[in-house]
Amino acid sequence: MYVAVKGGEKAIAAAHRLLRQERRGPCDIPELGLDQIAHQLKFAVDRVMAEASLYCPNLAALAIKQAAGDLQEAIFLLRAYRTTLPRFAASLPLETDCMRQSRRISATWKDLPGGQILGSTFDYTHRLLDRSLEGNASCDPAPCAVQETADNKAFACAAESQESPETPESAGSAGFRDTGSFPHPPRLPRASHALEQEGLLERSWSAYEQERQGRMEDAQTLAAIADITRDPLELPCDRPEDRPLRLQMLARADEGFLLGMAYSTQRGFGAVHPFTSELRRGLVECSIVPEELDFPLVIGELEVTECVTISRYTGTALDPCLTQGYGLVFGNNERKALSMSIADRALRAREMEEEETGPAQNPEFVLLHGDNVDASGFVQHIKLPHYVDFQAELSLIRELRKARANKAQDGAKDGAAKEGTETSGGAQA
Amino acid sequence: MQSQAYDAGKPAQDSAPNESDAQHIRAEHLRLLALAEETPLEAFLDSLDEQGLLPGWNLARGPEAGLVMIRGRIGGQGQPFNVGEALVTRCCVRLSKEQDILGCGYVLGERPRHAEMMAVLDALWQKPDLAPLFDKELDPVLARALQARYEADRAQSAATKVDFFTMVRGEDKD
Amino acid sequence: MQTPHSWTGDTVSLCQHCFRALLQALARPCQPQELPGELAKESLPLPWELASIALTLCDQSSAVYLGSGLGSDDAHAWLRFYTGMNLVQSPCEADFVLVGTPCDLPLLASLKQGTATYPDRSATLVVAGTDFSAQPGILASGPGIRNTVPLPFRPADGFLAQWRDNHDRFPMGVDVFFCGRGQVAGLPRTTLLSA
Repeated sequence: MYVAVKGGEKAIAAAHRLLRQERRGPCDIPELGLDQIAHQLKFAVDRVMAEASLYCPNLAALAIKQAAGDLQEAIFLLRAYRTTLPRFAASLPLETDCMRQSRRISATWKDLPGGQILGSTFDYTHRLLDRSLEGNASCDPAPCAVQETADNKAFACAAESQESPETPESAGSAGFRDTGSFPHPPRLPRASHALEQEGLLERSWSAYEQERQGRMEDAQTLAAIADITRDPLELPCDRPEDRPLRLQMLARADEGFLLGMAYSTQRGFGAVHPFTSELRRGLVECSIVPEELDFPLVIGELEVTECVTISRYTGTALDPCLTQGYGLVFGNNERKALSMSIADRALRAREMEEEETGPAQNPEFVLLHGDNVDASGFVQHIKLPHYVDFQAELSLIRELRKARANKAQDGAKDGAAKEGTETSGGAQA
Repeated sequence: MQSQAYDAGKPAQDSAPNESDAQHIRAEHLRLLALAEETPLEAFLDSLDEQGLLPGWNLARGPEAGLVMIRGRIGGQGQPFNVGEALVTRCCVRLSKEQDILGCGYVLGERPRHAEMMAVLDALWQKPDLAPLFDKELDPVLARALQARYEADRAQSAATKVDFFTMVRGEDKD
Repeated sequence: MQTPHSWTGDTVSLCQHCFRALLQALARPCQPQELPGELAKESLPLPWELASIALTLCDQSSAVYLGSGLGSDDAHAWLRFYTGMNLVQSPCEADFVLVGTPCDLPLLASLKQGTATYPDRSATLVVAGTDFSAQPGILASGPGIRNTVPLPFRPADGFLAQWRDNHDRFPMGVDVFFCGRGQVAGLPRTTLLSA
C-alpha cells in the first residue's frame, strides 16, 4: 500500500535550483553548446538515442546537457518526450544492403566481397591517454588523406557496378523527367551470401527472403508487427515468431546489461560461440508511405550499426549448420550491436532445442530486466520516502523479536520446570 | 464524384505518362528534397520570388513534429521488426490559387523550415509551367550536391580499407 | 471547386484542452463538459465536436470504425488526413467507433469488450449530435457521482437495456462519449442508469 507524503515543496524547489546551478558549473567556463555535444560526444548522443528509442541527435544532445552527462537520466528525459509526440507512420523496413557504409568488417572472411573498411574505430588503438587533448587543440582542417590506390578505386567501382535497385528504367524512356540521373547509394553484397549459397547457414531467414520476393509484403503484414510500445510483453516470448518483439526490446535495452549478457554466454552460461560474420555502420535511407500519398517516400538518412554474428549449431532442431544472431542499433554503437546479436541468438534456445544453462537464454530474465528506464525507476524509487512502510517493517520485527524472546523465555521456564520436575521427581523417588 | 481534396497521389499534370510513373518521379523528386541541405532550397525559392513566379500558399497541416517507427529486417533481409522511433517534421501546403494542388514535405529531424519549403516545392513541382525551371535550376544542383556528399564520404572511408593477411608461423614447420 | 476543409490552428493546444475535458467527462459521468471551441467556426465535413475528439484520441495506431452519419468521402478524408487513423470495415474490430447521430448506435455488445487481463482493450464509442437540452428523468449513479445525477439527454430506444448489460460486464465493457452543442458527457462502464 502506498501512503502519500506531503510537504517539502520549498526544499525540493531549492534542490532543483541547485541541480541546475551545478549542471551549469562555474560561470567563467563557457557553456556547452548542443552542437558541441552532438559532434564531440557523439557516442554519448548515439547511446541516448538507441536506448531512448528515439532517433534525433539534437534532442539527445539537449537531454545529455540537461542531465549533466548522466546518460541514463538523459535516456529517461528523451523517452518521456517521445510519449508526447503523435506517430505519423511506420517506415518500410530499412534496406541495410544499400547502407552508405563508413565501416564494414568481417571477422570470418578476410577477402570480403566489396572489401573491408575499418572506418573510424577504437579497435587497434593503444588506449593511451592523449595528453595533447588537454589544451584547446586547434581543429585540424586537413581532411582524412585519401590514398587513391588501385584497391580503393576497385572498391568504388565494385560498389558502383552493383546496379542500384531504385534506378528507374522507365523515367528516361517515358520522356517525362529525367530522375534516372539522381544519385543512389549502391547495394553491397552480404558477407554471409556465400554461406547461404552453400546451404551452411540456417534456412529460416533466407526462406523468408525468397518468400518475400514472390509476393509484396502488404501493409497489413507490416502493421501486424509486434510493438512493445503499444502492447505489453506477454511471456514466455520464446517462440520463433516472438523474435521481432525480442529484437525491438533488445534494440532499446541497456548497453551494459546486454554486454553482460553477451559476455556471460561466451564464458559458458549459455551455448553461443559467435563469430562476427559482418559488422556494418553507415547511413541508410528511411522511407514511409504517408497517409495522403499512396507511394513510398524517402524522408532522410539515419545512421545505424548492424551486426550479424554466426555460431555453430550441432543440436537436434536442425542439421549441423551455422545459426545467426542479429543486432541493429541507432547510431554508432558496435559494442551494443554485437552484444545484441549474441543475446538474440542466445534467446533462441527453445527454438533450437538447446538446454538452458544460463540467464542469457531466458527471455523473461533478459527482456524484463534489460530496460534501464524500468530498472532504474524501480531500483531508485527506494530512495523516496517510505516512512510508513518502514514503520510497518519495524513493528513487524519488534513483534517477531518479542515473540521469539517470549518463546525463549517460555522455553527456559519450561526447561527449568522440566528440570525442576525431574529433580523433584528424583527427590521424590 | 467528390473532389479529391486529399488525394495528392496524382500530380496535376495531364501529360503524365501514367500514374505509377508519375508517382515514381514525384517520389524521386521528394527524396532529393528530403536529402538536400536547406540552403539550395531557399536559394531556389528566392530566385522564383525574384522572377515573380512564387505563388502564395496556405498551410494545410503543420509544420509539425511527430514520430515514425523505424523498421529493420532480421539479418538485413528477413522478417521485419521495430527498431525504434525517429523524429520527423511534416508539412502540407496548398497553393492559394490552385487549391487542388497539395504539396507534402516529410523530413527526418526537427526541421520545420525544411519541411515547409519541401512542401511548397512539391506543390510547385506539380505545376507543369514550372517544370522546366525545376529540371534546369534545382534538380541538377541537388543531385550534384548529393553525389558530391556520397563521394566525399566514400573517399574518407576508402582510406581505411584494409587487407588482412593470414601468416603461417615457423614453429609448425618441423 | 469545393472548399477544402483545412485546419491549421494550434493542434497541440486544442488536443490538450480537449483531453482535459474528456478526462473530466469520465471522472464526472453524465455531467456535460465544455469542449474547446477552436474548430467550431471551421467549415468541416463532420460535427466539430466529433472532429475535436477524434483529433485528440486517434492516431495512426488507432483502428476506427465510422458509423452512420459519417459516410461522406470528405469526412473520411478529413479524419484520415488530420489523425492518420486506420479505418476498419467492421465495428467489432475498432478501438474507436465514431457515430454522427445518437439515434443509430451500433450494438454495444458487438464492440470490443476488452479481456479480463486487459479491460482497457475495449472500444470507446463517440456519439455526435447529442441534444443536451432534454432530461428524460433517467438517473445515473456510480463512481464520480455524488448520489445521483439526471442523464442529460434522451437515449435511443433500447439503449438502457444494452447499457445494463454493458455495466454488468465490468471490468470489461465499452465506454461512451456523447457530444453535441459544444459539450461532451462521459458514460463510463462503471455508471449505472436507472429509469
